[in-house]
Amino acid sequence: MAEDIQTKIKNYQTAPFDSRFPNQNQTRNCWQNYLDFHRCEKAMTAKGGDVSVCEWYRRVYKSLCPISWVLEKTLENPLDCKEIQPVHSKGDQLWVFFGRNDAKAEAPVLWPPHAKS
Amino acid sequence: MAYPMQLGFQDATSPIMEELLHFHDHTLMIVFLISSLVLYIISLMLTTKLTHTSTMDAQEVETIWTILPAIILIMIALPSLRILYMMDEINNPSLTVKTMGHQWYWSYEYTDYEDLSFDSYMIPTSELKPGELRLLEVDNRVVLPMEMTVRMLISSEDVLPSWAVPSLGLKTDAIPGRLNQTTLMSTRPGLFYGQCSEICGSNHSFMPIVLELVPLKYFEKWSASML
Repeated sequence: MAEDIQTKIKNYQTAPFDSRFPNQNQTRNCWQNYLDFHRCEKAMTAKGGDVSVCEWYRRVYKSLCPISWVLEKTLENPLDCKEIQPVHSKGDQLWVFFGRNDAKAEAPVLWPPHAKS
Repeated sequence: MAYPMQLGFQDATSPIMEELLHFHDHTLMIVFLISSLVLYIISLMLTTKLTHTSTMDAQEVETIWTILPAIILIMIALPSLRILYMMDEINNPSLTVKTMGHQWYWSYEYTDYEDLSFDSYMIPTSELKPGELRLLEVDNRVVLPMEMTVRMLISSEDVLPSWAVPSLGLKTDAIPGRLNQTTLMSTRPGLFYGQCSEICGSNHSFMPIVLELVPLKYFEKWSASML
């Protein structure tokens, strides 16, 4: 079976027809192969196996997924997202709370009707 | 591409477009026949001094003008459904090309082997060389191998344009976050033009599509030179 995959990868032209995604909307096809590649890679490195078997999924997702959709770097901490979606220059300011933060303010008194708080 | 005073479709470049062309001819012929028959009968009705005021039944003619239209409709529906199913046939493409719509240009990505991508802007009228087509030429054409099935995946980065090439019978909307697939197969080499087919902002009329279909050898040479 591994031999089959190696020849398949060697003779790769483009992503073949996938009967799981027979219709016009191929978004899921791209997503599924992207996911499958990263899961395969993770599983293989965890078990110390041969990552080259995951090559098929990599080729397919590379063929199908638009370049701008695929993130080339891993996101390890929240700061990694900053480059992708630049935060507004004023977004780093402290958020100031205006208002009361005591419990009494949260609980409106409904009865008797003339009571205020 | 389109030419002045054009009345019909552009010459077909793909087998599907040929089928659509012939189907259109067939259906339009039926439409013309029915319209001229009705017009003739109306003109007959309006130009006679004869009258007939007693009610009568007309079983025979009623039967005919019920059965005959049903037959005509079947004669239209069968070829139509045939082509519809033909468009959905499973074919294994040899190449995948992605196109992303932007405001207001297309970008193309060929990522089966290496990562080849480029933008395709319209050539402004002031920069056209003699003989070039106004509002149709682009700086970087989409070079593709002819006589090979190509999978086109169409999406968008911002607005909702539509990628269309009439001579191949293609028109697919580009939607951000969605990958729309269509299949391209050209029977001959040449330049095939199309224009953005969904309103997407001020320069919607100025983001054309030009496909350059060439033999496989030239396509390979071109893609190697573009990397």
